[in-house]
Amino acid sequence: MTARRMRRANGATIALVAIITSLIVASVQRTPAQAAYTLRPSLPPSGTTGGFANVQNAYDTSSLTASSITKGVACHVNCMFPQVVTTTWSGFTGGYTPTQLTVRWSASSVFQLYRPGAAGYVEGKIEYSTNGGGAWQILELWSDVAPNSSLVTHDISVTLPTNTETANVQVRATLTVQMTACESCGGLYVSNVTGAMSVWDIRLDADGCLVPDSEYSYTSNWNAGIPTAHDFGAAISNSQGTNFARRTVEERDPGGGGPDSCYWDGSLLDPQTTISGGAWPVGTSNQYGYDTVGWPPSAVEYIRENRRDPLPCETQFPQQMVINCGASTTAYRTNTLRMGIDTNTVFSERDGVYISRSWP
Amino acid sequence: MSHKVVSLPVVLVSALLFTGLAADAQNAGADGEFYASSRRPLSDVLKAISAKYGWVISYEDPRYSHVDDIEDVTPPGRSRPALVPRGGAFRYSAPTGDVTGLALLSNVLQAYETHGFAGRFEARQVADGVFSIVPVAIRDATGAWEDQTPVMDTPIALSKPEGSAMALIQELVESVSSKSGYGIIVGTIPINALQATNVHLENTSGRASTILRQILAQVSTTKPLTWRMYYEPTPGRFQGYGLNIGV
Repeated sequence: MTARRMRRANGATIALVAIITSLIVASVQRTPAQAAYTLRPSLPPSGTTGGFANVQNAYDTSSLTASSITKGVACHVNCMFPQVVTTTWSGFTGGYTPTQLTVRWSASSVFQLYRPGAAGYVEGKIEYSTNGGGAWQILELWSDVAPNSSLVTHDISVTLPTNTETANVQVRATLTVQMTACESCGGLYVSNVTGAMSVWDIRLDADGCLVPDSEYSYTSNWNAGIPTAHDFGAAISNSQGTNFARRTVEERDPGGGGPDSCYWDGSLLDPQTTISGGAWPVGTSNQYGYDTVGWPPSAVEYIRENRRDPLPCETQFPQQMVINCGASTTAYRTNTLRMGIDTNTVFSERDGVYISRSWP
Repeated sequence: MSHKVVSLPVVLVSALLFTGLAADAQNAGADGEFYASSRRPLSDVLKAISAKYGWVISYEDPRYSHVDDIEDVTPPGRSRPALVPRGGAFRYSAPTGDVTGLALLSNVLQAYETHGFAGRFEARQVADGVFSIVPVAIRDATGAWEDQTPVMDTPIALSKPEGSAMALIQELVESVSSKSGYGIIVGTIPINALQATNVHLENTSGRASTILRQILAQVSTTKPLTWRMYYEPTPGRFQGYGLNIGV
C-alpha cells in the first residue's frame, strides 16, 4: 500500500470511528428521552358508518400501514351539504405515566371545479381526549380550499400531563369534504372535490408504570362447569386511584404450599399444593376474575370414598399476584388460597374470604 | 410409607446453565442421580428428571392387579378395602457419557425393571424434549405377564375442534372412558388456565394422548403442561384412572 493510500485509509478509518462515536454518543444522549413503554389503542374504534377502513392499521405497531378514508362530493349529487366522517380510537392500557401522544397522519385533496363560481373545502382534523371522550382538543387541523394539495405523512405530538389516566385517552380523526359554492345543484353541474385522510400510527409514550397496592377478593358463584369449585372475583386499587384497565394480572407460585391433607401416598390424584396458573385482564372498573378455587366433583367424591383418615381434609397454598408493566411483571401481593372437603360440604377460600356449600 | 424424591446434585446443572451450556443439560452425566421412595417411584423419578432437564414427560400407570404389585392398607375396622400400588424405593444413577433423552429414559425403565417394580414400560419420544412413558405389560392376578395397551392410546374423536381447554378435556376423558371401558376421573388440574384458554384443534380424532397434547400445547403457562394418569386398584366405583395435569 502506498503512503497516499495509507493516508486515505487512515483518514477514512478516522472518519468512520468519528461517525460510530457520534452515533454512540447520540444514542446514549437519546436514551433518557426514550419511552419506557409504548401504548397503543386496542379496542375496535367507533365511528360513523362508512368510516375509516382497516382501522387496526392505526395501532398495529407498523407505521407503514394506514387506516384511510376517501370521500368526494359533487354539486349535482350533494349540493353544498358537507360529508363528515369520524372514527375514534380508544382502549389504551391504563396505569402508566404518560409523556406524549403521537399521531402519524396525512391528508390530501383534489378539486375539479369546472365553472368559475364553484368552490370547495376539505378539512382533516386529529383530536384527542384525556377524559374518555368527554372533551376534545385539536391536535392538528389541516384544510384546503383549492387548488389540489396534500399534507405529507408526518408525526404530530402533544405532551400530556403526567397525571393523565392513560385508559381514558382517545384519539379521533375527522375528514370533512364540502362544496362551498355551486353554480347550481343539479343537472350537469359536476364540479366536485375529493378529500382523503390516512392515520398511520397512534402511540402513547409513557415513562412510568403504576401498580396496585391493595386487592379485595369477593365471592361470586360456584363454577358452572365445576360446581365444587368457587369463582372468586377481585378488584385492585392503589392510593392514586389509578385505572388499571386492560392490564393483565397473573398468579404465580412463590413456593411453600401445602400440606394437602386430602392427599395420601398412592392416591390417584396428585397433591394440590400450588396455584393453577391463571391470568386475567383487568376490567374498566379495576376488577378481574374469576379465580376458581376447588377440586372437580369427581375428585371430591374420590377423596371422600377412598381417604383412609376421617374427613374433613384441606389444602392451602400461596398465590403471588403480579401485574404486567409492558412485557415485564411486578409482584404486588401474595394471597393464600384454601380448599377443603367434609362429608357433606366443600369449601373454598381466597385471601380470607370463605364460602362453603353442601355437595352433592 | 414416606414419599421422598431427591435429585442430586443440582450444582453442576446450575453451573452448566450459568456458563451458557444449557443444551448440554439434556445429556446425563455422572452427576445424574435420582431417588424416590413412594407408591409410584417411577413417576416421581420422572418428575425429578423432567425438572432437572426441562423435558416434558407424560406418564401412565399400569393396571395393577397382582398381589405383589399392590398393598392392602385398609384401616382396622373399615369394611371397604383400600389398596394402593406397592411402590418402594427406587434409586437411579444415570450412566456417564453422552446419553440423550430417549436413551436416558429407556435406561431409567431398564433400571426400574431390574429393581423388580410393577409393570413394564416403554419410552416414546414425541418431539424434541417431549416424551411419553406408557405401560406395555403388567402381571395379572395369577402372576403371569400380560400385554397392556396404554389407555391414552385409545382412539377417540371429539365432537368439535374448538372450545375451552377445560371443556375439551372433559369430553376427552368421557370419550376415552367410554371407548376403553375404564373409568377415568378428572384429578388435579390447573383449572384457571384450562378454563381461560380457547383451543383450536387441527385434528379432532386420533389417539387420546395426541389430542390431549394438542390441547395442552395451546395452554399458556410459565412451564409446558403434561399429564400423569394414575390407576386406582381398589375395587369399587373408582377403580380406574385419574387424569392429573401439571408441569
